[in-house]
Amino acid sequence: MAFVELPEWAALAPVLILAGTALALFVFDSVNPHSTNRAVLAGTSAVGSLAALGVAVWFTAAGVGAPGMDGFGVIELFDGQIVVDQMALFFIIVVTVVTALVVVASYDYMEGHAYQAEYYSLVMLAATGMATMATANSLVTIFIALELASLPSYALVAILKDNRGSVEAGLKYFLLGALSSAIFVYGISLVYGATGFLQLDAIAAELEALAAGDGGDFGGLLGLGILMLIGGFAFKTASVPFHFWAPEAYEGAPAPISAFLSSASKAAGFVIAFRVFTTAFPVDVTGQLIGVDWTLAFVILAVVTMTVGNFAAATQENVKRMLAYSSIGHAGYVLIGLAGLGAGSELVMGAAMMHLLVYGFMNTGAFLFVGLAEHWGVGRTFEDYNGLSRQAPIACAALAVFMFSLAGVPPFGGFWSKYFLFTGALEAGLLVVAVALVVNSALSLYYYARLVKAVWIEDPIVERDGLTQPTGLYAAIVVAAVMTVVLLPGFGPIADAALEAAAVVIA
Amino acid sequence: MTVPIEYYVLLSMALFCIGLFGILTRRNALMFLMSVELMLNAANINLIAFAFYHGNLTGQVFALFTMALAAAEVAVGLGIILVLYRNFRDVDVTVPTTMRW
Amino acid sequence: MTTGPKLRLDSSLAPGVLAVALFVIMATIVLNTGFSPEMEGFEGVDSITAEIGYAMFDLEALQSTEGSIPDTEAFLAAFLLIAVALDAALDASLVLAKREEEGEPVAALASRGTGSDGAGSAASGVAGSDRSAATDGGHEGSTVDADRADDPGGESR
Repeated sequence: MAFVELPEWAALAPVLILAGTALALFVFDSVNPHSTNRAVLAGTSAVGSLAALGVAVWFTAAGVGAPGMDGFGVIELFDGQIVVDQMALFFIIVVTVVTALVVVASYDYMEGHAYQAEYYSLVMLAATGMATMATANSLVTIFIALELASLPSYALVAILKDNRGSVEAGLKYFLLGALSSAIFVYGISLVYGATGFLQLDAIAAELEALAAGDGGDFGGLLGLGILMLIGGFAFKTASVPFHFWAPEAYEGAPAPISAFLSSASKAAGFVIAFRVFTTAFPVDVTGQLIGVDWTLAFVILAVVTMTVGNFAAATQENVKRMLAYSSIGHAGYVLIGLAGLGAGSELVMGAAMMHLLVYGFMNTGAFLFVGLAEHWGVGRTFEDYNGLSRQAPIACAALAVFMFSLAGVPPFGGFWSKYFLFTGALEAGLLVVAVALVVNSALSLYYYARLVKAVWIEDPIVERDGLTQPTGLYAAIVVAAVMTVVLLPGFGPIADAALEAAAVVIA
Repeated sequence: MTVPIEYYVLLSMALFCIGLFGILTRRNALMFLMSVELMLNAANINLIAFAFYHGNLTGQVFALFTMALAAAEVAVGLGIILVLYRNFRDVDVTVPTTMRW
Repeated sequence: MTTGPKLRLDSSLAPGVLAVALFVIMATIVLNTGFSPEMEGFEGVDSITAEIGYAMFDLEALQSTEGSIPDTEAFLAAFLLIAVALDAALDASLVLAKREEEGEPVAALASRGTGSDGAGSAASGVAGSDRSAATDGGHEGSTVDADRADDPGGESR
């Protein structure tokens, strides 16, 4: 079926392309440190991320990582430290899509900024880290990839060095990030202590042996380790125990970076959580050892996270902060994917993956609209956005699409992924979670609709002159909006891909 | 005659809790960084002790990687603290309150 | 008046209690874990350092020889990845540590006295002369003069 026989390492091509782009920009910056040639820099990053996206889509279509007759099977590289399967490719697609949108939008947003080349190389390095997180199959590679994604993010949040809000956001993001990565490493060390392995498959095999009765009683140590690992994931996905950083970091950071962190970084955090908990800690064996089912932790986290996020979002006056809290709420929805794993069905996790893909478009678009508003300088609160549709109808139409899709109103992509999550949760017998999902979605409609109302119906408080139409930001927003709508007829194949990917990982 | 593994783990847990205490009480960003280093090194003690306990080197090699990453994290952290000092003339983590916690 | 250490019970009491409580919980878990009293250890291993090296570069052929350590995982992927991660850290910390003056980044190594002495233009050649002027510091050696001669931009002061 394949036209050319590619070597096995070529399965990593999307990651390699991202890394190559990042290093090329880095070299460009070293050779020509004062370049402000934004077109070349943003263009290189966009081409790099789109190339990685194209390769990842091609691989998915060609059946890389798919089992069965016309697939190439799951590809393991470096002695199983890295694995390329459908789930990895799916999340690489999410990450590269968001990266492409963000770099195109940054072309206008970062205009006049002193650190152009550094900015783009840091974005690409962070994207490399996130794509590697999708393929990592050992606690070692997971931790290093996590740091590779985090370190550039800290700098990116604080990159507006004269802006106090940005610096403050960077500081808080860094402090909580350092704390959570310390807890994460400690969790890894405890899991290593209980099993003697760091590679996920080897951990699972060792747990089987322990559960069968040879070896001591390592349940408590293992449980503590898993709890600490959950802490690390919670930071990366901005879910409850470690969500404090999110509103601050998203509000203070440049808007494209907020979009990047809240969409791509969150997806990358979830992919390692999915991988670790499906591969290394099979529900039944681990539950037998610890005495508690770890899905219980995720049931609690999911309900608490979505409730905290949505209730806090409803009380915000600042649009960016509202979006930040709503992003916490969405982390809660996706956590259902892990909470429902106990039932052994791939539907919940597939639905969570679909939601992350749709979320990648709609949430990135929403944050980029905020970036556009910051570019115009119209202010930050709901009132400041009043009547924007008179000057910028296209962007505001896109905003309405994002908001209704985020709220999960029927014809949009967000509705379908939430619908799958709902049915999946019911199928897994998680009635409480399903109810929480519905109640929170209804609540979220209130504050999303409030923004749409401000933009379309309210009269502007102050008269504005005509607003500029920055090409890059507009292009990114329109593409994101179109994709949010177009995903709808294309939802069948996406749902299939996500469900298949989930089935392979769970099996 | 070797020291039982429990003692190593207790030492590392004590170190971890001391680091956590430091994070909760220190307001100086540099002290905060040092506390995080304590926690990371607690994990290293664990990794190396467990490597000896299990008789494979995975833990030892990973501890090397952890040290490198800790150094990288400190480099970025000091950069952020530098920028913080330039903006607020202070390295107290409670001073920047443009946005509330 | 004592200068000895004092126990601060006001603000750090609650975190202190929390940390101690956490330690007690963790210690209880460890003491109840059924560790075997015997450490496996590295008996009969030729060189642990060499084994670490083999593990780091996936040299399995060497790893599995006589007197080696079984079950050590391969780390080549992690090694390559950390190379990129350290690049990222370098990039990130440089961006943060650079100073700007009049909207232009100054070379990270420039000192305050002479660093801003350039012509203020955006050309990268000026930044190069800035850096050498700064590192050469006080002594007016021939290098500085040569540098100035090369770069007309530096002559404006």
